[in-house]
Amino acid sequence: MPFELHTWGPAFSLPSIDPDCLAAIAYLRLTLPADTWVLIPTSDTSISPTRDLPALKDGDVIVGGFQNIVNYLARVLNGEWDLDSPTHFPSPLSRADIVAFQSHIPTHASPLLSLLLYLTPKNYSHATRPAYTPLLPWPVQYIIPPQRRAVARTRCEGLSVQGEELDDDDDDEDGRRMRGGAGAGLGGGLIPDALRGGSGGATGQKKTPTVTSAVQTHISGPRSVVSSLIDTLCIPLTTLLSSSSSSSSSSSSNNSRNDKRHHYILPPSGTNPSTIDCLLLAYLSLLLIPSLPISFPQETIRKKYPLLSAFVERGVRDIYAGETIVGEALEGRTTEGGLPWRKPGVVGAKMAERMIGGWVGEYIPLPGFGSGMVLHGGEDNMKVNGEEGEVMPLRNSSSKNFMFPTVMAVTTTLAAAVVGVFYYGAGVVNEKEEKQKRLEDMGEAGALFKGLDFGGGGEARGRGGEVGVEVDVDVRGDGAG
Amino acid sequence: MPQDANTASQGKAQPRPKARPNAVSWPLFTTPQPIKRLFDKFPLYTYPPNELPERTAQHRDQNVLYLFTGDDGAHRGLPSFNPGCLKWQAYLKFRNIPFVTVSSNNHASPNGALPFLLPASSSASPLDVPSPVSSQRIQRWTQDTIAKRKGKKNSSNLSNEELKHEEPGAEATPLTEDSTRSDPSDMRYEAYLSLLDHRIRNAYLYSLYLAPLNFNAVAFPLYIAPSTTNTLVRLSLAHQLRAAAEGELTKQSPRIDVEAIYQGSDKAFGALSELLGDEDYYFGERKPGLFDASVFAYTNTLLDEDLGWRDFRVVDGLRRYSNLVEHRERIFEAYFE
Repeated sequence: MPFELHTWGPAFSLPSIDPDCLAAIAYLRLTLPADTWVLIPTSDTSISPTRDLPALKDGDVIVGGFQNIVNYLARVLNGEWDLDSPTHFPSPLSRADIVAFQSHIPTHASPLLSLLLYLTPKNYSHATRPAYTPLLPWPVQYIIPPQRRAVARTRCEGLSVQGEELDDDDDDEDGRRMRGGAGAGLGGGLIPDALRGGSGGATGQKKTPTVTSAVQTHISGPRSVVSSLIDTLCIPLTTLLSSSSSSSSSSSSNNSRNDKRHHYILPPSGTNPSTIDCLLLAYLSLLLIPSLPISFPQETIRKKYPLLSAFVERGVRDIYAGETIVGEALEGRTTEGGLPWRKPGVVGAKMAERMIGGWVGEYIPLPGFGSGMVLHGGEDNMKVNGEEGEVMPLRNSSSKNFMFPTVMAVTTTLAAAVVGVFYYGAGVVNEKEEKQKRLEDMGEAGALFKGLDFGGGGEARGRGGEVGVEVDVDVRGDGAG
Repeated sequence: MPQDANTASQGKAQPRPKARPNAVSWPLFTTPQPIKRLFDKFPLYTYPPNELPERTAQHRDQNVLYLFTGDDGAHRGLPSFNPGCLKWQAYLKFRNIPFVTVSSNNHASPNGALPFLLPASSSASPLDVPSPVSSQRIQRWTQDTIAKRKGKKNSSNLSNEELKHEEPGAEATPLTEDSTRSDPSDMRYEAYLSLLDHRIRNAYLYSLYLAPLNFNAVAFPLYIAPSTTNTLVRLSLAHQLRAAAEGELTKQSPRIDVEAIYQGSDKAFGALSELLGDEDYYFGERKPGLFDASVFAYTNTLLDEDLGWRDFRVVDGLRRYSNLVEHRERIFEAYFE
């Protein structure tokens, strides 16, 4: 029975819309023989014990999360499928590097991805949200993207830049980049974009009026923050990549560029893939490949780090088997040498039902379960298939996002009820109907408000009508005079 | 009607000169002489101005670092029990910046987080206070201060004695800590720093706030008990702290995978130990730098036996790497004793 890799569905011509899923796909592609695994584009996180995709199903065992999948596969066949094993990387320092960069790439790339794909309003509404549409059944497509966006927002909390700030038109950005190009030659990647206008002017290659450049610098404030985020992510990676490629080109044949063999990031030779390659390819391809309305971060990376973008192009071609066509992948159509797509077992309304059913279990807090979101113990990040039907009540970080609309709805209803009581009450007075409407007559809401003193209610109820009449007369007097 | 308008305008115009503040023409508003003489005697006695409250501005001529520490620890300059504070405390010590520590809490900070530094004020006026330096800007401030000190020395030819105070690595440090240098050690700088700021921090957060044994034994006496004696407030503070930790850990995945967090920190300590190797300090420097401070911030907090850890999962992961333990002891002996 083949391994089943459940991932978020394909988008932007990539095999998945989620970086961790892309990393897991790359890992399986690099380790497992082609006919031993299938790739299932689903959106149903309830299958995973960590409530997050990717999830790997091996018979009765399900493992959730990229790192857990890597650990599991390494364990299953005594390290044969472990990319980072000591046999591949005998130097302890390079194994330490693997651990460090495994943390570096997600740490610094995921805020960038969140900003670019989810928090920049134009990109979100014109690219990311539409990309989710074919992946999700009907009602769920209105729920998942905002939910993922909220998660992205929490990931960007500490940043000094808001997605909305990146949302201006690209025209002035183009002009800025032209000027930046002049400085790029001598300053290279060291000069932040915001300062480039000045440096170009100083060398006399391209003079810009001082005021304009000052204004431009001011405008590009959030952009220079993004640019420094990119530098923090990319400088160590590009250094690592260049050190491995230089040593490999000296050791291997001279036409290494046309070499069919993939070029991996870690020294000494760049011939052995590691989990860093998977993560780098996953995160950077998702940063670079989508065509977005606001695209200056992508262009910055392409311009300043050509090695990395070349790495991504090679990776998409060799590991992801070129462009993924979303419709075909979702139908489970595979081509020779391509990814082993398979149609998810549960689709359409059934999937929606299952996802919504899962949430009902998840978002209704039941007393007595404590912190259900915490997974304890070594075997808990796997689960055995038999328990799958059991609905575990979970508290979830995004439950706030679901509580908020609920609270709003209740508040609005109550507000409407209050207004209704007043309005209806005033109407009775104006029409001078003798029948006294009492709060008790108004059903449950009335009973609820009976205890409160609303002027017309409580002890003053008896004179309520007279008060109303006085107000009425006053108003008329004003209007007539 | 025109008359009316006229009188109205007159009526409006007339009171104006009377309302002038210095006009004394209208006797009704002048103070009668006896009463004026009586009130001229006031104030009968002027007290000297009040002293400022005991806890404020005691050390205005010194740099003051506000951080999480006990009152006793603040006087003796003991290491803070909060890694975020200890990192900068150690860094300032490494850079030979004289400062005193003051026990504080997040509510006192201008940006809501400790630590922050109040630079020494040169003027005597209590109103002329230099603006506080938040933790993100302490490194820049330190470099500026060192540069200023050096500039002064060059211009006025100070004695050799003071030059000795100058740290040897001062010129090299800004380069080392600037991530833009293309050098293998620098390529590692950011990557390994992310291990501390994420893998180890997550394990630390989980083990301190969410592991039940440790929360009651360590976090409660350190963070909650000193702020209040009210049980209800304590409960609410405890809840807030734990919820904040939980929120931090669920940013990356919807459920907290405890085993993965602990495995991550074990691996991270292994990698950090490998990076340190047989050297005294990271990246082969002769003096510890910001990276050493970041490592020390966690290793000292985890290895401090006075804190009374009960759940040793993270601590055990650290103890396996003897060079990390020695690195912590080396720094502790050189700078905190």
